[in-house]
Amino acid sequence: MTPQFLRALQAQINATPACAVHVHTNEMPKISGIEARAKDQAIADIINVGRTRPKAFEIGKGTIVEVLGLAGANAFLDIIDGDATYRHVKHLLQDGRLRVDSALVVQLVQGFVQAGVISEAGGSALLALGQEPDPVTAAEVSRAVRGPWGDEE
Amino acid sequence: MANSNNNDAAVQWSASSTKSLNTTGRFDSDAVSIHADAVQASLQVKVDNSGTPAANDVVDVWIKWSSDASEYDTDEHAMYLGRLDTVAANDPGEDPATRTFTLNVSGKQSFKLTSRAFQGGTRAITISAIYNEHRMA
Repeated sequence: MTPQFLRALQAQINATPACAVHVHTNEMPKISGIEARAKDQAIADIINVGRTRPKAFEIGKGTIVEVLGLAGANAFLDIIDGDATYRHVKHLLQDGRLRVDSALVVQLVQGFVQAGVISEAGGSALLALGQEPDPVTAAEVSRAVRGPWGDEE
Repeated sequence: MANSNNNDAAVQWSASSTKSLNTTGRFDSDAVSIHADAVQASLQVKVDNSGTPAANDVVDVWIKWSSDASEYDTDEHAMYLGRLDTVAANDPGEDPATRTFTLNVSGKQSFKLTSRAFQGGTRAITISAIYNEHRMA
C-alpha cells in the first residue's frame, strides 16, 4: 500500500457518491471493529465493480478471428496487412505477439471502432483480453479512508 | 517452601497505569523490580485503539532486561514478545486486544516494557499491563 495507491483510492472513494454513506473517518466517533469492517467492505464492493488493470496478453490473427468473427476480423486484418502504417503490427500479429494491453494497441483498436471498421462490442471484447480484475480489499479501504497514508509530514 | 502466584501489579508509565502510544516511536515503561523469590512470571498486555481501527493498527511489545537494575537492554536488542493487532478483520485481531506472555525472570533484577504502535501518530493506542510473579521461598 503505497501513499500514491492510498491517495488515489481515497480520491476514487470520495468521488463515488454511493460510498459516502459507508465512509467512516477518524473525525467520526469510534465504532466497533466489526462495524468498521462492514463499512469498509461495502466501499470495496462498490469500488470493485468494473475495476480492472492492464494484463500482459499477446494475441495473433487467430484470436482476432475468434473475438471479432469472420467479417470483423477480415475488415480489421485487411487494413493491418495492406496499410504500410501497420507493417510492423502486421508481423507481430502473424507471430501471435501483439500486446493487446499496450497503450498503442488500445488506441489502434479504439480508432478502428471510431472509424466503423469494427463494432464497439468487438473492440471492447478485444481490449478486455488485456485487462484483469483489480479488486481492492476492505483493509486497503480502511487505510484509504482513515490513514495513515504514508505521506504525512 | 511456600509458593504464591498472586503477586500482581500494574506496570507504570511515569507513575500512570496506562500509556497512550501516540507517535510511531517506542515507549518505555517505568522499571519493574523482580522479587528475589520470583522464578517465573507472566505479563498480561492490553491495547485499546483510541479510534476506529484501520489496517496495520498493531502494537509490538518488547522486554528490556536488566541484570543489575541500572543498565537495560537497548532498543534494538530488547527481547521481542509479540504483536497485538487491533484490527477486527484480522485473526488474531481485536479491539481491545489482550495477550499474556510468560517471562523467565530468574537471574534478572528488573525490566522495562517497551511498546510501539505502528500507526500511533494517526490513531493513538492505549497500553496497560499487569505483571504477576510466581514466587518460591
